[in-house]
Amino acid sequence: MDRTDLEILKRIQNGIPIVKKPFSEIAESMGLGEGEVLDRLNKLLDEGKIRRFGASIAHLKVGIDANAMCVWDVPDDRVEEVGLICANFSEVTHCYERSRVDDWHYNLFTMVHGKSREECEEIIKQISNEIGIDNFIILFSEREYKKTGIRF
Amino acid sequence: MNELQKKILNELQIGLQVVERPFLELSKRLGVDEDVVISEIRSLINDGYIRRVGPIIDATALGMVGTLAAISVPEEELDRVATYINSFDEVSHNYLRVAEGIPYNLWFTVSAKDRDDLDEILDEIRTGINYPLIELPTRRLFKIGVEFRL
Repeated sequence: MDRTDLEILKRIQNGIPIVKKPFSEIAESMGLGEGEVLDRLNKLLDEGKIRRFGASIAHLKVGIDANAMCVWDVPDDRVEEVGLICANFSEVTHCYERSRVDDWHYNLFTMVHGKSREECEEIIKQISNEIGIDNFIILFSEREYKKTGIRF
Repeated sequence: MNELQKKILNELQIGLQVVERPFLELSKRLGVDEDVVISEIRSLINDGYIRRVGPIIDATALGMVGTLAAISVPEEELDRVATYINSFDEVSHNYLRVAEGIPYNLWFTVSAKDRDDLDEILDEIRTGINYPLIELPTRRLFKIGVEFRL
């Protein structure tokens, strides 16, 4: 990862042009060769610095309306086991262990996406049964104030 | 959204190849013309179904540090505080999430180039809004950013 890689990423973080040869257009605008841009990006993909090239989807718009952040209070010695079970649910898109701080006791965070709140609740009930933990809270997303890629 | 657009969206979630003509590769998988794929993706963007087509970057692999933070904001102040938080480029997500018994209602993620930068941004937000804020750093990652079939 060098300066040029970073410049390329900055140049495309808001999206590539939707044209036949997008990388050629990007390369040209930066005074680089198309081959060099492709090589550098594929290397970043191989190294996992770019997870994938894809679309950032507006979930609300495509009818995946409900987005629940379910937070669980999991005994510390069960986090590894429980986290892996939760991650196995296809409706769970993100699963993290986070620190407990101050008055906040919930340490496992799962993001659940569904077509409706009821669907999310149903999935969360299944997860709860499977992990044997019923100390959880569902925080539905009521308003999206911002959703962008990471800026650097 | 038409059937072809749905197929395109699913393919785009799996990933676009980084080659000279990525949309040509995609069109072959779908059995349609490259021009059709390009115009359908443009429509998806214009109609607001897709925000952008681009790299999904692993911030941690780039050495960046990120966190989730939550603030407890009175309802009438929500829009103002959310706008203020959004003004930081380092804030990538910001949602209103409400649940009974939970005082925190504005949930946002911050990514910065290092810990010092992250602390500086959080301090600035703390000072700027003056409502209770908790920071919930990641301890372990079990699954991240997996999209789903439409």
